[in-house]
Amino acid sequence: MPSDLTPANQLCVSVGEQLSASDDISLVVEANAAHMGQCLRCQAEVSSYRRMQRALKSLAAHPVDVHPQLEHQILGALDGVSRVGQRRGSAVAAATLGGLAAAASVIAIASRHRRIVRLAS
Amino acid sequence: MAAQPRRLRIVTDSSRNPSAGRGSKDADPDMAILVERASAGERAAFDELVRLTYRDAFGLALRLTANTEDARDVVQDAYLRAYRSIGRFRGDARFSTWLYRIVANCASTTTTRRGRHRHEALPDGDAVLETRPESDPEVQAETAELRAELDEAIQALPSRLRAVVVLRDVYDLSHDAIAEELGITVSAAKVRLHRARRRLREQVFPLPGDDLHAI
Repeated sequence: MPSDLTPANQLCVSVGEQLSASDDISLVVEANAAHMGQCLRCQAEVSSYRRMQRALKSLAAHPVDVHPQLEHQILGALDGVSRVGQRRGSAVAAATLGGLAAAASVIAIASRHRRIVRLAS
Repeated sequence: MAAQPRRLRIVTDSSRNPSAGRGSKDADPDMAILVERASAGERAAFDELVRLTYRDAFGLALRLTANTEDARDVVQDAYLRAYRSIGRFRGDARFSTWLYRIVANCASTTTTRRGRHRHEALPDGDAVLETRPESDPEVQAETAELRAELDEAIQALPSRLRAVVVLRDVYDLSHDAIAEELGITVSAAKVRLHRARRRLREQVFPLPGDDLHAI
């Protein structure tokens, strides 16, 4: 804060800093009640921040213009991901079945081998 | 998994109804049910969530990127990420809030990657707008004109400042969430917010002595 400001100006600067930093304007008003009561500039600044906060909040409820194809683009992109996922899923299922079949073959061969060994002995 | 999409009332995050639906903190029970079904892997339910939320998501992306093409890419990317991770969505926040965080993260990645600082060269106060009479601002209705001025002023902010003020003051994300999605500390997020608000206020509601404050 510049040192050549009058004490009143310094308070105005301080109030301005608090207003822009705070999520609750009424707390700033309470904390600086004495100065706020007599400083028209700070009163105007408080009003400005209140209006600005209200307008900012209202922006979310007023969506911007959306390209008509956007919904289809998003859903199309999701289709692509789903197809890749399904292909991966199919590949995993096929690999699992293949593995099970191979394991069954190994077991069958091993048991046949044991039987042959038993008969030979 | 071929459930029919249901016809639903469109609900945005602007409806701040504290009564949460089942399974998530969404104000609309239908929305909460959709989220549950989508989390269980039902694609039709996720598609319906897209239809209900993509306009708001695009609005956020556009405000964060200040570029239509980037915003479209960001929204598409955000929904792909959301689709991949919806199974891990725990429902301890609104779906829209969760989605906004993803959009914010995607937008941050995009703006960082492209290094778009087209608006940062604008000198302070160069585009000073009309000073309004402050007769009784507490009761004045917020006009479309004011929203348009604010939107324009937001787009003129540097992207670092724009992101925090949009996420905090327009979309009501917490300081912690903003810091996390932008990859900065909470303190840095608060400092940026403070600067962004001051710039917006000075631009849209200029007051005598603003130059003193800018010292």
